Amino acid sequence: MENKERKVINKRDTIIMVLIIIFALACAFIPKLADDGGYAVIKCGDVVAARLELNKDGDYTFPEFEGMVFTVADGAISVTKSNCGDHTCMRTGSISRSGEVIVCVPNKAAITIESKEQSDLDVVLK
Amino acid sequence: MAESRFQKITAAALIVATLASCGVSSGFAENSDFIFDTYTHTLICGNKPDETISGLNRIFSKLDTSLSLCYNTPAVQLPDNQAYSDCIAKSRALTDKYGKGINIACGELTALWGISTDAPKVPTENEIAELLKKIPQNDSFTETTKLDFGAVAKGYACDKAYELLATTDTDYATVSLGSSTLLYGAKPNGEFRAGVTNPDNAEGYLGIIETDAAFISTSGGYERFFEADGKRYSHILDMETGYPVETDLTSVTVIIPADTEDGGIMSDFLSTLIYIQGTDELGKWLAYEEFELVAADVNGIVYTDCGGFTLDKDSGYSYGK
Repeated sequence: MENKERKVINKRDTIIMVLIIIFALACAFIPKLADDGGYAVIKCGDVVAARLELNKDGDYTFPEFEGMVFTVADGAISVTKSNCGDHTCMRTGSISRSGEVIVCVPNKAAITIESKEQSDLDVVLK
Repeated sequence: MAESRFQKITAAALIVATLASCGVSSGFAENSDFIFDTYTHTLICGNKPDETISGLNRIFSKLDTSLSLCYNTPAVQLPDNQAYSDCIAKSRALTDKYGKGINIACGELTALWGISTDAPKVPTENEIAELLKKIPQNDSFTETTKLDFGAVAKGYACDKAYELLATTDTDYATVSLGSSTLLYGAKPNGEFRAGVTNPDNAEGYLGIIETDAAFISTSGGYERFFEADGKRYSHILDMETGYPVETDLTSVTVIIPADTEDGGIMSDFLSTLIYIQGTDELGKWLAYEEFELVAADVNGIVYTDCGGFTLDKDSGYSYGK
């Protein structure tokens, strides 16, 4: 009995440690996200202008982006109207995975995704 | 006894959590911004990542002022005069080594087309012909010549980012400046993965490049262009004709190992040059050892010597010889 007490790490410790390690790894690799379909984060320059839930379909407008319409449908977001000259933002189409981005340089708008469906890409070349 | 056991376990858990999320005693920081007329994104994993981000931002905003199309500012008044003369010297050296096609002295022509402005327009044939006579070459312009660093500025900025990162305790970093990217350091669980945008479909990928630390630049006419009278005009101009380049390539990506000196500016310059020259010259470029490339053409063929490239099976493209 005394012997057991002196052991630095006994069997129960090992089990607890393994469980904690698994929990720690899970915390590190599974992103902390809401239970629903994720969010579109719309930034104006470096300031977050809006966070839209991707499971709430609709057309959205914001005072920061005059003339722009953001459309959420089928768990994805797209820019469906813009007053910018080049319309690069509209041509990007819809995005739904983290790592993807829609950009409108003239309006300084950038849309990124916070989603359960993680993209495994470090960067998208365009 | 119970307490010390608890401490041991907690300590073990903390170490594992730290190691799993990033390197030892490291943290993440990321930043996005609009500079170089594009959306930029930086992610740093390392020691004091916020300081590193601030350092990078300072470099980029200085470079943006020095190298953007504000060519009316005399070079001596620019906040980073070194960058200005550096880009001129390195562009000339690259032209000497790889051939003509990119002329940083073409600022007047870029301005005439209004490329990357709110109001691009098609000039008359006469306007272009007159201007072409006046535009000097890379190696013979004067102090009053309007310069356009569009084909080298972002790549050069990636070189400067690499220099700064090398002085910091950074495990890995991704610095994305639109068409040019620096993938720095080593990720704990494998290579970097970079998606190449499908030139026909901005929502999809042409394929994925798996690579160690590298400078990567992409050129194509599919993202920046404008339409007038039903015709599409891309932002890359042909120095011979004065018109947007007519090429049978739709996308060119150049990958250069990150330890290559001036690898950033080289990747930017080469991706543009290879794109301009089209499929006829591809054999020559594929033979080079110092860089790898992925090129897609108008017929849906992908040409590559990049071992880390995997074609997306839904891209609609297939491999050439």
